[in-house]
Amino acid sequence: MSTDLIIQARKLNYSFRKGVPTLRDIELAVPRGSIYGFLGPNGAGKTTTLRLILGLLRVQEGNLSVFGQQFHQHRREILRRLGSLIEQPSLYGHLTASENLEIYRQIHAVPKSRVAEVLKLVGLETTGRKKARQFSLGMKQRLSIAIALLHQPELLILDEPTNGLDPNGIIETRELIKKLNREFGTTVLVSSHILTEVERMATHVGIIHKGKMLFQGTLGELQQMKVGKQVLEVETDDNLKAVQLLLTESASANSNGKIVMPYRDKEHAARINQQLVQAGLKVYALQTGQNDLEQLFIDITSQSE
Amino acid sequence: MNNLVLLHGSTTFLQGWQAFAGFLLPMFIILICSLVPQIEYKNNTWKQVYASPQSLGDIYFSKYIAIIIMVLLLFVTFNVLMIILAYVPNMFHAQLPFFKSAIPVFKLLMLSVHTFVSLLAIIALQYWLSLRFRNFITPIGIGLGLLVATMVAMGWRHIDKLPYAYPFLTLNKYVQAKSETTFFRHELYSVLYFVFFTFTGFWDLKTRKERG
Repeated sequence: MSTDLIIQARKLNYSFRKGVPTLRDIELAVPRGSIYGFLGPNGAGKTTTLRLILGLLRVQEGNLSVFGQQFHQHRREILRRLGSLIEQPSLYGHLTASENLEIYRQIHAVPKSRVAEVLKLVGLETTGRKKARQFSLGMKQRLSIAIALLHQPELLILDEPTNGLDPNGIIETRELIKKLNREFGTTVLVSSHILTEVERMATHVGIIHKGKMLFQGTLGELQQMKVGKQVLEVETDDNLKAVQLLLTESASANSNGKIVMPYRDKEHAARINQQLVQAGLKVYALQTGQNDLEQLFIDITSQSE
Repeated sequence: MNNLVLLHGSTTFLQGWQAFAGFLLPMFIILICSLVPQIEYKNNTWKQVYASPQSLGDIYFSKYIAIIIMVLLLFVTFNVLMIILAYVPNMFHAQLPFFKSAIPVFKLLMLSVHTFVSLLAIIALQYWLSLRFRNFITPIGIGLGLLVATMVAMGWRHIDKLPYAYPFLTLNKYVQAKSETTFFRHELYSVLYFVFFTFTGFWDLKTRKERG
């Protein structure tokens, strides 16, 4: 078993009900020191996979090792070295932020100073006597992240950590994850259903859809795959004429009043613009198409078929 | 001289104990066993608890011990308050009998010990049920149902096999017993039930497929 993989899953199968598989042959390889973006739409099996890693669900079929150890034999050793945030925040509503942290401080037996440190890290140092019940969802999410960070774990497992955060909070969380990874070498497994969010911080990406892994590799490999899938969208005052002009580019008009053609590079885009302008057309917009998660799924699935 | 005579001084303490042992105590056990695990259910924190580096034994027994300590605290509170409620009015109403005899401390203590032992069976059962069911109404409903059913069956000759009758049986037997320190048969059963349900509850937790 390779030691530089912090988490390794092989042929992981799981079903909550017989005959209805939730996970099918999941392969997961999270290298040490990586930020692994675990990407998939809601209900794809992200949380189920993370729950299996944390031992909240029992492995039914396949092999799963964390830190090179089997979970059921080394439960406490594994849990001691990781921090987690699964789904909605897990907080005691009747306790304050520091009281919530104090519970886990005692479990992990870390110095008292850590409580103030992590509170400052997530920007909750001024909440004082306010009860967690009264926190906004964003604050609850930050406090949950603080709990996960409390004992400076080697591995952080974060399930949709930016859920419920405002744009500022999303950026801060992303920066925090990068900082932990950079400064402490923390390996982070972070799930998300937003492609761009993962692209902005991950070094490695795994894509899960309907319980199956569609893709796993480095961010570079993912972007390689996207090249050639990207499109150039053009909007003009006379799309019919424009399509005829650009027939050699295999352009076609789509239903949104735009012309779509394969994107090659910047120079090519500029040439197309020139061509249209010289033909006397007004170019209202010229942009590369948003390659969203939905589109990526379609691309990947059509590729594998 | 039997315990009934001495518990009285007047029958006040006995009357207090009758309401306490027969209904309020089992009720308290049913509620406290349900409400302590409910903290984790309500806050959605079980998953964080199970994903923390604690053994399942730590998790199971820490709450269990907390509940048992709360039950012990209830006994202390109940006895102290009952004595205060007897003696304070006596200061203002000289005709009350409480100053005429010493507080039956030993008798009240031993009655508390007996009653506590008699409760062990339902503490273990209710704790197990409360860990098992996310909805706190379920263990409370089962507990109340069994308590009421037991009350109906009070005349039955096998009543000493029914855990929810034990605190009531203890009080009945204690007031007639010759000695404060001899334990009754149903109290032995209570301990056996306690061991059985404690083990069952832990085994159930350990073998659960899905946690948190």
